[in-house]
Amino acid sequence: MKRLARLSLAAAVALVAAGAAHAHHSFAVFFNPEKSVKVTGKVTSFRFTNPHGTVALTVTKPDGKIEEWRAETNAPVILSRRGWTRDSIKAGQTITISGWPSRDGRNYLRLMEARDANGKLIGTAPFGRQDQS
Amino acid sequence: MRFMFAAALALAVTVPAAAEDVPDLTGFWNAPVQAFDMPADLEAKLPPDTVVIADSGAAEFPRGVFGGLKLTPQAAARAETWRAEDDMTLTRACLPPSIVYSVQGPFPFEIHQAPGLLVFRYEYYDQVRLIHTDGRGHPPADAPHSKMGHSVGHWEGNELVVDTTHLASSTITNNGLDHSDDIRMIERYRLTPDGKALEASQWFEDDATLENNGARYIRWGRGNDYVRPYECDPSFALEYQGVIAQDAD
Repeated sequence: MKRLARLSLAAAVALVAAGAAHAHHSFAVFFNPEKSVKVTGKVTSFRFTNPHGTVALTVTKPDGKIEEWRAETNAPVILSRRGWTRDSIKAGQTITISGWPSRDGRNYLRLMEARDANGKLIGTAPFGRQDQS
Repeated sequence: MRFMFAAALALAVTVPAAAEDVPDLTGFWNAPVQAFDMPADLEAKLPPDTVVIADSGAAEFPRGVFGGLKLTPQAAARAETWRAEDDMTLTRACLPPSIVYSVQGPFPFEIHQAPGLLVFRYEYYDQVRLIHTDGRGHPPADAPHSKMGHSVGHWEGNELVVDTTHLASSTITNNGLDHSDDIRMIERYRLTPDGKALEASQWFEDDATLENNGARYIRWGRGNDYVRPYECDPSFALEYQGVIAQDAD
């Protein structure tokens, strides 16, 4: 509840602030290019819409603890040029994702690549910093 | 608006650009992911007190870095208190940036050219821009402002010079520096000698936020593709909000 209240306050502040900013957010501001993160888990959802797609995963740690992770992809207009479709990842599928971690320490990353349970790359090529869209 | 765009496109496809005896910029132009130095002759045409910022294509400035732009005290204070996560809400997730920032973004666009008019159709946020080359001026200062602004153009030799005003306040560098409604932007577009790329200098002045002037150099390779629908979905913000912070780096 406290978190919801904090989010509501942030939304309220955003509404009354100048209408200047936009939310196709900056890679440089949100993600740490000097670090990398890789997790394997079971997909709970996959969204394939702009400005960014998202993959949600349930990750079981070696100690049995469950973590929820999300990966943000490039804009699907970019993904679609690399062989991705809205069916590239399905709920219930086990995948391994790697990328750049969120600077704020959330279980959130910017996707560099995703591989299926057999280690096969999803799409035709991984994504680099030069694809920061 | 839809009618205006349709009319513009109809004009673009019914009258050949060659009738004006100017370079034909028509085509699909790939996302400018690679950065290049501005050619000396384009840089020589920039007004005094201008800094060329190096955030075109893939490059991005992190928080607090503005590439040599000198912020007014008000703009600096705003950038200092700006919180990126405040933009990750349903109400803001699909707000498009103005052309001041998006012109250099890593997305393709296409140009349709006709006598008196060019149409720039951007993939980024499905934005469309009209460049009037029929000699008209800008509308009165109190006319509506928009993210694409009002653009008039003319040819200087092989360069299309575009003057844009009436831009609604938006980001310059996507890290807390926002321009005002009074920003003015001048671009110079031309084909590279081999015709395989389109290049442009972008210059802007905004006394409300900058104590100097800014510029960029952008180059798009000629492509053979289509502008795809962007159709921004604001529910992305809920995905971002749905994760819990652990330990900040």
